[in-house]
Amino acid sequence: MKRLNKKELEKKAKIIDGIVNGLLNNTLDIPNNAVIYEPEVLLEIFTKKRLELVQYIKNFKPKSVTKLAEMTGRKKQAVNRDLKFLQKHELITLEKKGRFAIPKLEQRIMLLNVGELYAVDMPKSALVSNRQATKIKAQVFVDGTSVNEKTTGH
Amino acid sequence: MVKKNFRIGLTAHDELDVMIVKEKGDITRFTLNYRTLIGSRWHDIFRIDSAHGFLHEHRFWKGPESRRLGSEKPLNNIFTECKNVIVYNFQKYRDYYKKARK
Repeated sequence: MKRLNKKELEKKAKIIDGIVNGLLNNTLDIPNNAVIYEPEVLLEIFTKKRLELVQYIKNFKPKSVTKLAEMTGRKKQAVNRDLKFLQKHELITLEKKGRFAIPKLEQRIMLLNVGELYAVDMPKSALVSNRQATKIKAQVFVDGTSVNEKTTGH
Repeated sequence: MVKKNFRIGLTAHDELDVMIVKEKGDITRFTLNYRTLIGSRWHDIFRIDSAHGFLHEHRFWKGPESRRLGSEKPLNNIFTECKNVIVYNFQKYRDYYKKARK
């Protein structure tokens, strides 16, 4: 496991200071139970494929892992592996219903200063509305609903 | 009085849970809980909180007992100091915990 150096630790301490000061001065509001990741950590957790899974779960609410695998055009095993990873990080849950496990968004996820993260391409047939952006600058979910608009500018 | 809970990913395997209760721009209560992912389970490693009316810490590699901390400073300053203790030392604490489990 890579160890962080003093400079990296200082950066983390400053980020937390910024968040807490913002909360105390009322210049920042974050949803309760938000999960905050720095870009480096974020990119480790949300690979392009995992982020795509989160988006599909949020937008299309698949009824099983098999359905999700079909939607994303990936092998079920690979999807399962990624879902287990996201579950371990308490970002999704796999709700057992009979023989199926229904993936659900678990947490509020706040991605700070992400910049242009990934271009997530979805097949046109899968789109139910034009809300899916092809470029994600920062995606914030609260209870599975995007609140990007709310936090823009903070 | 506003209560805020959030968690910060220190690394992909280390997280800091933060709970603050604020009133008129000041922290009136807080909890900082550092945990790490070992295998498929999260383990609490170190916690500092001001619950029960006094500041205390839990060093979970030593056991579940808490140790009372004394400080006269305002809670805002104490929070910053405690947060720094965790952020600058969490890797060391993780090592202590893993060693103690063996």
